[in-house]
Amino acid sequence: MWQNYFKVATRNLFNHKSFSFINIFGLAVSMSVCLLVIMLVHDAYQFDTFHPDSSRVYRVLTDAQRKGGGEESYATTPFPLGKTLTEDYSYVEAWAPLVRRLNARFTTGDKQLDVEGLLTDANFFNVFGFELEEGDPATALNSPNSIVLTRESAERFFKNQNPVGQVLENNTLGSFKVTGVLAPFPGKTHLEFDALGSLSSLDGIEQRVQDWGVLQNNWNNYYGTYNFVRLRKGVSRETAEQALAQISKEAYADLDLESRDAGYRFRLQPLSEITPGPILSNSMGSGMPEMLIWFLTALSAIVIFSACFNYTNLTIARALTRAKEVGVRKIMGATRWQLFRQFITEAMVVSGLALIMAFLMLQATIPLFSQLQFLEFTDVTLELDWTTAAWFLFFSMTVGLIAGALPALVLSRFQPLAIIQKLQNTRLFRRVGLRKVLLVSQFAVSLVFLILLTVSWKQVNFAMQGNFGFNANTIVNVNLQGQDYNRVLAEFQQNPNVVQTSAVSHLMGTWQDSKIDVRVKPGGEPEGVRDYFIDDQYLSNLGVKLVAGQNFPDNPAQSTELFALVNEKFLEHYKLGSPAEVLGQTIIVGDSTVLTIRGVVEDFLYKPLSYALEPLLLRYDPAQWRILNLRLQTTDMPAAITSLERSWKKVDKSEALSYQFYDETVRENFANLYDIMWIIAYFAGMGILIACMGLLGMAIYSVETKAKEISIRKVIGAAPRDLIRLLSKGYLVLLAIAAVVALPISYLLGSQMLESFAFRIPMNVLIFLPGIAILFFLGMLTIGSQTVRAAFGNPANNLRSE
Amino acid sequence: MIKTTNLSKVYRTEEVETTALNEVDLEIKEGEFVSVMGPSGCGKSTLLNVLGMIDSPSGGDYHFMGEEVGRLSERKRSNVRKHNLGFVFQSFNLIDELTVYENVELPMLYTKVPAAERKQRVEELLEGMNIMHRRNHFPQQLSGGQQQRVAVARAIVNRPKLILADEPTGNLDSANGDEVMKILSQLNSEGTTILMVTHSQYCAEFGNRIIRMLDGQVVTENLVKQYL
Repeated sequence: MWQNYFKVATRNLFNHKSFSFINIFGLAVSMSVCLLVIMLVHDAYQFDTFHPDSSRVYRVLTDAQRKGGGEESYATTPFPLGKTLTEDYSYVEAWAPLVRRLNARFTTGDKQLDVEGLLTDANFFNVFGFELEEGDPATALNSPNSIVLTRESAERFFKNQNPVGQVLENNTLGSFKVTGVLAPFPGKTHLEFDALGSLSSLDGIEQRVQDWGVLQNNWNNYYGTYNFVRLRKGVSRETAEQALAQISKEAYADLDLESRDAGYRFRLQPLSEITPGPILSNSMGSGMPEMLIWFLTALSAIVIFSACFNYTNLTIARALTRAKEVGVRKIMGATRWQLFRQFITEAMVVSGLALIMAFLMLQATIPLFSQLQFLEFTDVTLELDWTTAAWFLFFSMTVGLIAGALPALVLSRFQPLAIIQKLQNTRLFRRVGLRKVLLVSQFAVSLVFLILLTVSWKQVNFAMQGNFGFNANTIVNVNLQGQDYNRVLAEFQQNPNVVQTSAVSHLMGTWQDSKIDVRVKPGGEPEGVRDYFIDDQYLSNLGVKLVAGQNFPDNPAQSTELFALVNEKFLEHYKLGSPAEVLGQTIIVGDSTVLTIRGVVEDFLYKPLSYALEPLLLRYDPAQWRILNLRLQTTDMPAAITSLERSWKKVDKSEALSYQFYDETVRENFANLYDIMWIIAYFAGMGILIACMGLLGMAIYSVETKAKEISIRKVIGAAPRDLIRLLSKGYLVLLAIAAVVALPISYLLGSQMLESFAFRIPMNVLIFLPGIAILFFLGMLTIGSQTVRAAFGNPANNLRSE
Repeated sequence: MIKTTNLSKVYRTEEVETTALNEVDLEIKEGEFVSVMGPSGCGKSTLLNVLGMIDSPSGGDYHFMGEEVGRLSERKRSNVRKHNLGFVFQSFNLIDELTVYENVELPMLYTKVPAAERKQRVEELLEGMNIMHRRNHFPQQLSGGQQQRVAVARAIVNRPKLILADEPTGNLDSANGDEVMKILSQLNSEGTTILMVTHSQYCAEFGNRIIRMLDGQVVTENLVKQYL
C-alpha cells in the first residue's frame, strides 16, 4: 500500500510541475532557515553536558535587591555561602567554589603570558567532568600556590617540555608551581579558564593584594566567587533554596549591606540552564542567551508556517483535481483513515524533497551566516552530526504533517458519490475567506520584516555617522599588556610616526564600562557614575574641550588620587551650578576617596549611541592606565604599524603588539546591530519570497479555473487591459489590506527596536515607503506574470477544450 | 441476493425536495443480469448508487445477501462493498496517476490480497481482456474501449458477487461497446450477478431481465425475449 501511495505522490508531483515547484521550493527555502536555526540551537545546548550527575549540579545565584527598587541577578555569590550550605546542612554532596583571583600575567624564563585563572580545590574534579592528563586530581590543588594548566596554556608556556614541577611567576600574586595538566575538555563548557590555582593560595594572595579585600569570610562581596554545589540524591532544589534563605537571614542580620543594596536572595540555577540561560551580571564564558534562541526560533517558525500554509492552501485549492481518485478509492473500499494516510504521505514526500533541497541551500547559507559576529561571541559552531541530522529528519516529517494535515482531512472527506454524480464543480472547500486571511497575514509579516529592515539599516547608518565628540581618527590604541607605562611610552615617543600620546583605563565609545558610587556631599545618597582614568594628555589628544578650570597636572609618580574632571551633565545632574562655581568643590568617590573638581569638560558622547548622555567622571591614577592612544601622522599606515611593532618589541619580546585603530573599534560596536540587520534582511527575503510563491500559486490556480470565463469575456469584446484589471483587482485589495495591517505593527516594533538607542532616527513615512513599494512591486510582478499571459492567450484553446 | 422494500431516496435542498426513488420494491437473484432503463432523471443511477451502497436510502429496507445494509455505517458499508461489489462507470474512472496494471491491482490492496496472488490475478485478467501489452501504460494513453476493459478488469479482480455497471458503453463506439457487453455477458454466464443501467435497448437485451423506471418508480419488469 505504501508503495502505491509513494507512486501516486511522485507521479502527481511530476504531472503538476509548477505547483510541485512552488510547494517544494517554498518549503525548502524556509526549511533551510530552520535547519540553520536547528543547528544553532542544538549546538547551543551542547554546553556542560559531560559532567557526572549533572542533573544534581547547581550554581548559586544572587538576586541583589536595590534600595531604589528593582533587583539585579548575579552569577556570583559570597564565598561563605557555599561553605555554610555545605558544612551546616546535609544537603550538599560536593561544593566547588571558583574564585576569580588568578587573572594575571605570568612569567617563566623569558615567556610572559596573560592567564585567565580560577582558584578552586580538589572538589572541582568531583563536581565537574574535567580530567587531568598529568597530576593527581586529589592532590594537585591542595598546597598553596599550586597551579594546574589547560593543555593549551601548558603548550603556550612550555612547548614540548614537561610542565609539571615548573614554576610560573607573577610580581603581585607570587610564584605558582605547576602540579597538573588538564586533558582536553570532553565538550563545550561555559567555564572559561586557562589555569586553576589552589584555593589555599587565596590567603596569601589577599595578603599581597590588600586592595582586593578578603573573600573567604566576607558576606558583602557577592562578586568574586562562583559557588557550585552537587546536591545529594533525593534533595530537591526547593529544600536547598530554603536552606539558602535561612543562611542569608542569619548571615545578614547584623551586617551593613553595600550602600546601594536593600537585601539579597540566593537561589540555585541548574548547570544545564546556564548555557543557554538568562543574562546575568558577572556571568562567565560565552554561550547563546536564551532570548536569542527564542528570537531565532520565533522568526523561523513564522517563515516555516508561512511555507506550510502555501502547501496547505494550494493543495486544498486544487483538491477537486483529486476528487475522482478519492471517490474511486473509496468505492474500492478505502477507508477515510487510509486516504488520510495517503495524502499525509504525499505531504511527507514533498517535505522530504524540500529537505534535500534545503540541505543544499544550507551549505550555501552556512558560510554567510558564519560571518556574523554573534556566533563568535556565543562560541557556537555550525557542525553537522548524526543528532542534528536526526533532528532535520524529524523536523521535515513534522513539517509534512503540519502542511499536509488539513488537505488530507479535506480530501479524505470527499464522498464517493461526488464522482458518480459528477459533482466536480461543487465547491468542496468553502473557506476561501480563511485562505485570503492567511495570504494577507503572509504579506503583512513580510512587510513588517521589510520595514524593520529599513529601520535597522537607517539606524546603523545614523550610528555610523554619529559624532562621538572626540576625535578617534588616526588614533591607534595599544594595549599595555601589563608592561610598564613609562617604558612603553618612552619607546613610542621616539617613534617618528607618533605625534601625540595619551593614556586611559578603558576605551570611550565602546561597551567597555566602569561605574563608581559618587556622593557630592558627605552623607548624600551615592549614585553610580561612569568613570575613566586618563592622563594629562588625553583631553588634547582626543580633542575634548575644557569649559572651565584646568586639566590634570602631569604627575605620573602620584601616590594619592587628588583631582577629578567632570562634564557639564554632571553639574546639571547634581545641580551644582555653573562650571566656574563648581571648581574647587569636593566629591566623595567610592567609599572614601575625596577628590577636588579641578575642571569641567564640555558634554560629548563618550558611549555608543544606545546610551543616553550621562554624568562623566574623569580621574587621574597612573596605576589604572591600560591603554595608550597613539595619534599617528603618516601616509603609509602599514609601515607605521611595522615601526610601532618594532618599538613594542624593545619592551616586550614574548608578546606581539596588541593594537587596534580606534575608529574601527568604535565601528565594531555596531557589529551586533549589523548582525540583527542581516538576520532581519535574511528573514525578510525569505518571508517575501515565500509569500510571493504562495501568491503565484494562487494566481496560477485562479487563472486556470477562470480560463473559460476569460475566453468568453474575450470573445464578447473584453480588451486584455480589462482582463488584467479583472484578474488582479482582488489580489491588489489583499496586498493593500496586508499593508494596512502591517503598518501599525511595524511602527510599534520599530519604535521598540529604536527604544534601546538614546540617539535614534525618527519613525516617519520615509521608513515605511520602501517596504510598501517593494511589496507592491513584487506582488504585482507575481500576479502579472499569470494574468498577462491569460489575457493575451487564444480564447479558442479554452473554449474548444471545454 | 438483493431485496428492497419501499426503498426511497429523497434529496432535499433549502427550497426543493426531489424524490429520486419512490418506494421501490425489487428483488434480484444470484446469477441474474438485470438491466435498468428509463429516461434521464428517472432515478436509475440513484437506484444503482443505493444498491451499490455508495448512497444511503432515505426510507425502506435494503437486504443484501440476507442482511439489512440500508442503515449500516459508512465503515461497514465500505467493508461490504469492497468484498462483494464491483463497479463499472460510463466515464471509466480510472486513476490517471496509476498504470493499467496498478489500476487493476488497486482493489486488492484494500482487501489485503498477498502480492504474489495479486500479480497472478492481474495478469490473468489483463490477458483475458487482451490488454496485457498495455499493462504499463497510463489511462490517458489508451483508447476508450481499452480503458473500459481495464475498468471492468478492476471491477472483477476481487471476484465480486455483484457487478454494478452505470452505462458502461455510454462513452464507447459500437464495436467497443459490443466488446464490453460480451465481457459482461461472459462474466454473468460464469455466475456473477450484474445490475446495469443503460439507455440502450440493444445493451439492455444482453441481460435476462429489464426493469423500466419512471419518476423514481419501477413501472415494468420484463424478461428479455430469449428468457421468455
